[in-house]
Amino acid sequence: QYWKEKCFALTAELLVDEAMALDYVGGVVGGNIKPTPFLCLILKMLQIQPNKDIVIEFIKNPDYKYVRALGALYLRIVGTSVECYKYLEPLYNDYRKIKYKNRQGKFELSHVDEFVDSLLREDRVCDVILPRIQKRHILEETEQLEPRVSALDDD
Amino acid sequence: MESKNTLIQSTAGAVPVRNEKGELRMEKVKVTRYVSGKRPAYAQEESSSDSNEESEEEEEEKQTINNIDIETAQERLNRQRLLYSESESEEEEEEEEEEGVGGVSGEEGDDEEVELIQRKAMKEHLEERQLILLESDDEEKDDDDDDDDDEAIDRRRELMRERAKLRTQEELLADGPEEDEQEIIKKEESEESSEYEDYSDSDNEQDLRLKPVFVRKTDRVTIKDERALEQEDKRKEKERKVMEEKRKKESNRLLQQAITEDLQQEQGVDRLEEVVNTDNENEEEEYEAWKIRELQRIKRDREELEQQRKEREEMERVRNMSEEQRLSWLKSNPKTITNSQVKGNYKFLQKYYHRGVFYLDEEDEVFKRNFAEPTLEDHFDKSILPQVMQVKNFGMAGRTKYTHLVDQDTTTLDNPWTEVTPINLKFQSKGGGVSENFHKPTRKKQRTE
Repeated sequence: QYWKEKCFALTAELLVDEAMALDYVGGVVGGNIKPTPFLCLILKMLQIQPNKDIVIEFIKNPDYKYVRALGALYLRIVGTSVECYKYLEPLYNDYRKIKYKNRQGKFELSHVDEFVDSLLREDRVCDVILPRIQKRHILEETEQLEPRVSALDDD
Repeated sequence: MESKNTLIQSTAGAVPVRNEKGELRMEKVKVTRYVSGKRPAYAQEESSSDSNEESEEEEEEKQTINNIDIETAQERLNRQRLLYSESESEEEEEEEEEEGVGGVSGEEGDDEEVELIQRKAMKEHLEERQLILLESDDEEKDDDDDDDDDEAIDRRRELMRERAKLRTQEELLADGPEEDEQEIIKKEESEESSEYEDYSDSDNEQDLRLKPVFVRKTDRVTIKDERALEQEDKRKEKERKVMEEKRKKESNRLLQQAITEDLQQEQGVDRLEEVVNTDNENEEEEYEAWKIRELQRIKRDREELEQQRKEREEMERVRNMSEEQRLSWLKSNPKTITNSQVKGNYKFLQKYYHRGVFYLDEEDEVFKRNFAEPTLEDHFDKSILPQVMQVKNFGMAGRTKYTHLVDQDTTTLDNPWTEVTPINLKFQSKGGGVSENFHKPTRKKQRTE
């Protein structure tokens, strides 16, 4: 329903508005596996294939956590391993709360950093099978990535 | 009026004056000495004052007095007496008495006589005026509601002026030489007995002052009271603050409750504790929670790295081992299966499922379940079925004629080939490809070269 009502003829700009109106993340819900608005927007993004800059802007925006989550998931689906690590790892420092709607339609409390962690480590997030990502240490060995420095290590 | 006058007298020259706001104020009166033959200040003023009904009357009287003043300088006793009698004819019986006395005193000297007469005239005039004032006061009181403010103010001013003048004149009279004129004073007293009595009363009251007694600062009641008041104030302030704090907390709590209830309705959750609220951001708490998560992640990453390093080292070591070493090493370090399971006992013709080779070292409740339990039609005891039906998928398209592998096993266990005898063992060990050591053919080549 959300898909038909809101996602029809969305452009990249209009999609931002919709993304800002999000208030929880989640995959499919309930007995008749109903997709959440979050998942609908991911599909819409895959359809319109926004510029990579737009996605990175999504991820970098400081105000809207759900826009950020949306951008993160999209980048994880679309981007290469190096890109994923490069852009998603800074989100480890974002400790805002987000609502996650689980399969039974119940809300769970989560955090942006947890969401990002699951993106980078698990192969199934929000009922989406993610493409395989190269392990971090492999990229480090081939010197495509610097070893990760946590925000806590600086202290 | 009388009470006011009494007050006036007791304040030693200061006079209550009504200002524009209608408040009584004490003001010092400038005393102008009366000089004989000189026109008094009030007369000049009055002549130029406005033309009210009262003032008209006063003017007439004043003119008579002015006439007296002017004529006293020129004409003498006879004339004045005539005048006096004229003025008396207008007035009441009291004044007739005065005349008699005045006549007696009038013989002493011309100048004195004149003065006396003048004074008497003034007295009368003053009394009249006072009466008028009284009347006008009453009138004022009655008309206060109806009159305009301006009018009232004007009138009040007028009254003030007149009262002030009266006072000056009275004082003048009091100051005047009175050795000879005790009789006059007596008369005055008889005339204004009520006023004088009042004055004396008030004076007596003033005399009854208490003796001042020194009280120490510590013993002073007023100071103590002040302190007590202060403390009381402070206490009240404190209480108020506490109450405010309480109220704040209470309202905050109520607000939170309302929000969570709203969310509960929105999310359709039964219990309040299950409501997920992501808007009550508490920076400190959040940061602490994040810190813990971050530390856990760091720990996990480090452990992973360590694991990888160990694995790599082990791989290197095992690769460098010889065959026998490796075998012995594998025997001593078997693969760790954290969720290993006992092989279940299968029923007759029960379908078999292999548990798989993955997730052997993962801790989860799912991996520990008994996978050998019978399911679906396996619950039936198939051994009591007729022989024909003791096959897999009986009656289905995929039906086989076989029950299980052992059924088809035709090996004869008493076969000399399979018997474990020394001869057999010796024979089997010498067969091709049964040697325990395997050498790569390329290796052999390298060695020979």
